[in-house]
Amino acid sequence: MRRLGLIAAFLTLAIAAHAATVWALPRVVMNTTMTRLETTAGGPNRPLRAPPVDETSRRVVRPAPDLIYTACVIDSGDGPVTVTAAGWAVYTSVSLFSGNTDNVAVFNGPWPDDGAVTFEVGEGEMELPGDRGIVLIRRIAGTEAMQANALAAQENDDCRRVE
Amino acid sequence: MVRLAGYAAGLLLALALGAGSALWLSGWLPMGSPVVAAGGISVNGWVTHRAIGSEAANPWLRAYVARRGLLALNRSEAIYYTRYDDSDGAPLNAACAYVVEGQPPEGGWWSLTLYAADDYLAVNGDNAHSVNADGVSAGNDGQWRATVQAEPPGDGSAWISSRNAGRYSLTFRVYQPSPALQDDPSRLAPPRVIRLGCREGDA
Repeated sequence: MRRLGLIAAFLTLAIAAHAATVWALPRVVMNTTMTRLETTAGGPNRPLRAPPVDETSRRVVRPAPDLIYTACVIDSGDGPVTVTAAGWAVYTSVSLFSGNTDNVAVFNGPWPDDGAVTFEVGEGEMELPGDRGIVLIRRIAGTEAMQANALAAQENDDCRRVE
Repeated sequence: MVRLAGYAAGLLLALALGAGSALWLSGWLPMGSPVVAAGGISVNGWVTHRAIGSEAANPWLRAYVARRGLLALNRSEAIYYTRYDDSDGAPLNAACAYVVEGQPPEGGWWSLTLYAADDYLAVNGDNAHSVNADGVSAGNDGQWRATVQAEPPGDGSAWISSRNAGRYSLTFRVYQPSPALQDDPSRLAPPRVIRLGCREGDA
């Protein structure tokens, strides 16, 4: 009887360790990534206009070298955050990721070159489960000429807390 | 005292077993994830999963995405197909040369990217990590083609460098997939990865 109890305790512990590890892995990775990104950006709710992806890009696994990225670590604990994506005449997307890696919202363009699209994270279709997450603006830049234009457009991307 | 040591050893063993199996099933160990593989879709060797990036992902897939594809979009926006072998089933190898050819997929835009074994771009200074819909034209037969090998092909054709990539993988991204492809990712007309040859002794 005692042996059965020990076996049950062993299995219970193993299952609990398994569940805790699986639960924690995405959250730890996202939290580490958010910390790295916001450190580089100078804080949360600030845009990080990433340079073109190359072989030295090591912040996030499997980066796409055909895209230009702007990232923003969202902290909506003190209220909604606005994200502005500058216009881009070919494919672009604005996506929101929660602290467990889920892509909880995504919108895509093209949007007019001379226009910009603003989203409010914490409202409507940009709801974030929890206070923290990442917004990623992707712009297709499949050629060198497109890359130069995308980098220029990226200068007008922004994110900031609603005052 | 001996009994106490036995309990401590049992405790540590249970924790190690639980954590180790979690890493294994989530694809954090080199042998891949059987849970993710079981729920995945393979299209002639190109593997994807319907729930990547989705709130419907199970906990093991979510942990897998954290390790192998952080910030992946859900399939309403992009579908990611990855393979580790050629069309004959042999592992992709930097010592070999391949032609990849296929039809433009049902979607808005596509790209094909090579990732080294560490899931980052290969460190080789070649700046030839991918080809995409804007950089490759379809031939008369409607197929696009790219050469994957360690040296430039020298004929001006599209090239992805596998130099210093070791045992690498290829990821085919389809952005803004058609509703039909979103609904059934196995509809992809899969690009073929044809091995041309390998350096003697390295294959």
